[in-house]
Amino acid sequence: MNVLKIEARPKTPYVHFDGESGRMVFRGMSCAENSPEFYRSILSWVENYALRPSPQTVIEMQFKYFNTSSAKCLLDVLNRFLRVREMGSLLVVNWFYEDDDEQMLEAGEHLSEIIGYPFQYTILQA
Amino acid sequence: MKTTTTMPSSSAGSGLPQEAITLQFSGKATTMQIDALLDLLEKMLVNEGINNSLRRRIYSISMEALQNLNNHAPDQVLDAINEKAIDPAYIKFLFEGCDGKFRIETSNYILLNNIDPFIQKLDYINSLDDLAKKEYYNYLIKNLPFSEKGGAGLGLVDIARKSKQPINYRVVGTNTYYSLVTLSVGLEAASVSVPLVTG
Repeated sequence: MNVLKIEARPKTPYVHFDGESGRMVFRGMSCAENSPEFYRSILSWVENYALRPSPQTVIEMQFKYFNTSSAKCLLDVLNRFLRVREMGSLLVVNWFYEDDDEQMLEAGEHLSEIIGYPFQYTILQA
Repeated sequence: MKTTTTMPSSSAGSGLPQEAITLQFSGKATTMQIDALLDLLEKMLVNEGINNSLRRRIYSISMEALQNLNNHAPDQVLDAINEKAIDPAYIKFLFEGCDGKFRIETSNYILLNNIDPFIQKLDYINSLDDLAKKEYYNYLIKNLPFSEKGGAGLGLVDIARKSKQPINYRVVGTNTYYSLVTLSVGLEAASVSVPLVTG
């Protein structure tokens, strides 16, 4: 199974990971109180993907809100994606934020700092 | 669920309410109640014309505060004989704003045994400057395991970072098993700016 697709719900994001193209999309809210439950299957998918990644892995993260429980999960997801570099995959992390959303820009910069890998930032018109 | 709101109109063009806006809730904290309360809060902030950056910061702080209550609600009801019965899942939430200043206040019962470590953590967070708060957050996110309820243990330091103000607290209503703990955090519109970095 090379594709992981999860439809958005009020408190969990749209997820579309394509193992063939290497395009990985997160979009929406991630505010479930028990986020580890939601992210379990995602982490497992990424773990497998990192063993045989696409030549290029592009992660697109476009969140409206995420809570601290999700932040920790996202850190785990990103740390697993970092492993694709060991298999020769070029990794790009695109972080999207609305033009007046200071908090989301800061959140991206902070996650980038914690994992020690640069993000590309893209502004969306609110 | 008991919820009251007061939503006067914003003064034209400022994007900030000049009169007081208030949202209050008291009742049992369930996930559904908290979600409904957050939806109501966001609608109120949108109606008030509060800018995206400030609105999201208020929403995030409120969400962390409310989810923190839910994560720490005592699982057991412990009532001594002759002790006034309480529902340990009972919470209070208050949001109020006026003239660019906002306050978010939450109250919940905490088991007496957990009070001291909780207060110590708050005092520690309040003693940190912005950089130290960030370092503490980084330490926790990397090293603390998830709680049984899926909490990351980051809620309080996240609230302190986002509000850029100390978390005030008071402990009242102690009985044999619980105390009612109130946390109060302020946020000033002037401390929230739009992003300067461009992609």
